[in-house]
Amino acid sequence: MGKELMKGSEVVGASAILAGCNYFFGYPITPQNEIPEFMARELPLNNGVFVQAESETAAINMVYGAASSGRRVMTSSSSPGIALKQEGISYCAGAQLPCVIVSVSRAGPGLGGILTSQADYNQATRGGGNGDYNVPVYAPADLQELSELVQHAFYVADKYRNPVMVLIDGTLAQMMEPVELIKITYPEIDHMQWSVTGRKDRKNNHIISSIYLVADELEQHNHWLSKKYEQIVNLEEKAEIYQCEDAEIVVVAYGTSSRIARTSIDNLREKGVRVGMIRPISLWPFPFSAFENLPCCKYCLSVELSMGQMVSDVILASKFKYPVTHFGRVGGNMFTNSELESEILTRMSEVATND
Amino acid sequence: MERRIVIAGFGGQGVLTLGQIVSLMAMEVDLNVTWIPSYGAEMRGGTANCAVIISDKKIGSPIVNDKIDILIAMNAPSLQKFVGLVQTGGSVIVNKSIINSIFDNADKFIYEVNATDIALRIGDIRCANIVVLGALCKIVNELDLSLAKRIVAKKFVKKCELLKLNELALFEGFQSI
Repeated sequence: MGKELMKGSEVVGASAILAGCNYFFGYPITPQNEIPEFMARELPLNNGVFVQAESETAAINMVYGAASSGRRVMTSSSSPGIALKQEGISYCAGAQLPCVIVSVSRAGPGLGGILTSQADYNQATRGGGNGDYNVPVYAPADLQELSELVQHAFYVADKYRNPVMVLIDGTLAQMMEPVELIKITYPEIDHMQWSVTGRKDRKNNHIISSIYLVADELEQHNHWLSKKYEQIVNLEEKAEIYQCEDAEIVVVAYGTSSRIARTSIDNLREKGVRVGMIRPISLWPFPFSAFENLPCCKYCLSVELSMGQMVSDVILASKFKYPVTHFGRVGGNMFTNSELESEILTRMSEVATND
Repeated sequence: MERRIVIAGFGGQGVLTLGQIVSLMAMEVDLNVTWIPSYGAEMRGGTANCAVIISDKKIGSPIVNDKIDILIAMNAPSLQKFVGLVQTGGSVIVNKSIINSIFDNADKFIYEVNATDIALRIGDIRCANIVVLGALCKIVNELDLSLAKRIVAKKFVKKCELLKLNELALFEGFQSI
């Protein structure tokens, strides 16, 4: 098919349709309006249904309904909108419903601002819904990877019967890059065993619910979910390890930040600075195993467009073998390569002094 | 090779489209490219701008907040906003028709193009962006005038009445500097 120049938001929509997405429910919010715009135009042409709901809460509950029927369904929103969807996401997790949520983060808290930010790391990886649940979160760094991970998200959602989130930011949603849309083939997953499609000649009703009023039954359900999450942790970690073999300073960055970091690492490598990067692609499960082989690491820098939300995960991954600090800008601002490079060099000289 | 280009002007001057055409041209010659618009509040009237990065290497941040190689300023506020970020030895294409401001240009190459006037003279004010594209082709090695013709024709394929006008706009722009 060849490469096309596409906007991140269009890539989300086109890739969802490639993955067989049948339904989209959403409510407008900057900077992701081009996703519902694309779906409103294209989904009906691809045997799908688009509904602009009356609110984010309504949209996620429509997702719950459509997912119950075993069809592929997606919603998208941005920071405060995702906050409103958290209740529904918890319900989907409780009722074991596969669905994809695309989160395009902007600066917060509250209404915040509409510019790029990564301050929804905790919102995505910890979730704001109630109960013991987890949502796999994928964070692409370019639009080709975005296309792949949107398709992958549908597969993982089906495989584990669980909501899956794709987390990008205003920059990735708004930018254009050449992308080749390639349909990825995954194993077929049959939902007939549980989906609500009319009883017909089946013996039993299929019931989709997250309510368990008997303590022992809910406990059993919690254990079952927990086993599922353990399996996801064991099987679904994804990360890119870049120039880490001899790296004394390891930058940890995802999404847009990792793009800037890669350039800085290349620039510093040319000057002989031993710096590398771990780029988490799955934020939950956090790619702890990527940190197992860092023989020369003396310092870890968590580079993110938040006040340091990922730092705690990086500290856990470090097993306290080396210090971890945060570097980044917030509020919609972006750090430059020279700012990041001077931060890395400062940390490098600290490491040298301590030796 | 990396070229960091900022294109800025009033909403309606076709700055976002111009950025997309430049991006498509870079793609055509197998270069990596990113395009990003200013979005949000600015979108609703007033100024519009986009940043295009062309490179033979993997592109990091698509946002150009420093070290501009080429600035295309279609109006005075855009020139004021971005000219300070153009690096030494960088180029500025100024839409001379509507920009009179004087600025410090000692360390930059300045190209003055009467884009709006040329566009009006050849028939449509809306092709001022294509006039500027013609000029851009003269100063950027990777961007070829015949390639520009091809991509512009493709971009406006549904408006075939614009074909001749756009070709003329490209030619006039190319000749203007």
